[in-house]
Parts: sequence; C-alpha cells; structure tokens
Amino acid sequence: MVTAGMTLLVYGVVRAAVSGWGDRLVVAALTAAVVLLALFVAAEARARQPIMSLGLLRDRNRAGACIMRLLLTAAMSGMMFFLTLYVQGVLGYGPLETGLAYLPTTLTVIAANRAVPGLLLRVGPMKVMVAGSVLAIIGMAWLTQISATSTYVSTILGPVLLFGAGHGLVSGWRRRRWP
Amino acid sequence: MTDLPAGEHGSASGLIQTMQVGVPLGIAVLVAVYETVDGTRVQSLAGAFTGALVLSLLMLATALTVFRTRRRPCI
Repeated sequence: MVTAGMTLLVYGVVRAAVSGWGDRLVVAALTAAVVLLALFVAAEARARQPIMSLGLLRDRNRAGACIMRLLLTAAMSGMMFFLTLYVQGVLGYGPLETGLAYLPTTLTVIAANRAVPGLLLRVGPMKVMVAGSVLAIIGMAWLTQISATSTYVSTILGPVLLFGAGHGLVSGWRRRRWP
Repeated sequence: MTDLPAGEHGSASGLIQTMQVGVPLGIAVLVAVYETVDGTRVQSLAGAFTGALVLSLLMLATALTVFRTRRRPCI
C-alpha cells in the first residue's frame, strides 16, 4: 500500500508539472495515493506488529525530528539531482569530477554530525535544529543565484558546504545514544 | 534508541526508512518546479533550487514550532 501510494503520489506530482493540476490522470493518481496512504496508516494503527509503530510519533521531539528529516531528505536529494545536471551539463564536469565536487559536502556533514551530541547536551535540541535549518536555508538561497556564467568556487562550493553543515546538524539527532 | 520500549527498535528502524520517501518526493517536487519555470534551462534550475529553499524554510518552521523544550531526543 505504501509503495503503491508513494509511486502514485510521485507520478501525480511529476505529471502535474507537464499536464497541469486539473488533468484527469493527475487527479486520479493523487486521489488514489491519498487513499492508499490513509489505508496504510489505518492498517498500521491496527496491526499487532506494525512495520512502523505510530506510537513512536507521540513524542513531540521525535515526531518533529522525523518531519525535519523528511524535509531535509527531500531538499537534499532534489538539490543533488539538479546540481549534477548543472555541473555536468553547464560546467562540463565528468562523473568523477562531479563526485569530487560533492566531497566537501560529505566532510562538513561528518564534522557537523560529530558535533551534535555535545551541542545537544549544552544547548538542547531546538537551537541545534534551528542552526542546522538556517545553514541549509543560507546555502540554498545562495544556490538560487546560479547562472550560466557561475563557477564551482563562486556559486557551488559555498552553498554545498553550508547545506552539508546544516544537514549534519539536523540529522545528528539520531546518532546520539542516550544513557 | 536505548530508551525505546522493548520491541520498538524494529519500528524505529522502519520509521527511519519511511522518512527516506523524501528522496522520490523531493525530486518529484523539484522536477515539477523545474518544468513550471518558463525560461532557460539554467533559470529553471535556479527555480528548482528555490523549491529546495522552500523545503528548507519548512524545516526551520518545524524546528521553531516543535522544539520548545530542552527535552532530550528519544532516538
């Protein structure tokens, strides 16, 4: 149910960009997606051994962290997808150079992630999450200034470093093992 | 995840996997924005990044709304 629901949801959103939100197939796909995902939640709520216990979401901080992780994953995967098109199609990078261009992102994700346990103890989850979000916002806002004449150093390196640091802070919440 | 009730660790793993639906969803949303922008390919790319910027703003809104206390995360 969840796989079919998500497939129809993604199909509906992508098709809507081409055919418009009023297209009959778009409406049918999105409606079916909502129904299937609602049925999945209902089934999980009744199951004796659910795949995903809905009780886990009763904790406010945990539910919020999950929503943020979902949004972060959506923003980052979309950014990587289109940035790859840019560096290969506009800057003319090959696959290996493209991979190396993203390497600084990985390093900042690791560095920020390692700092999270200490930061959580010192300032609490809210400030860590807000700081991570603000870094991601600055990076993404910088990236919207991209143009045909941009270079890797002037318009890509800074944003991916900032977004990587934000990613590390926001996703670090699940790395900490509490006593 | 040490403070989860017994038997909940598998569910927590499922929960984390469920959040990975953000991958296809994020790409789909940004593709929709990309296709909607009426301009050159690079302008459409910038439009797609604006979509990602909106997702990041929603992240900040969630952080400001949800995390009001200094309670420790449970996972």
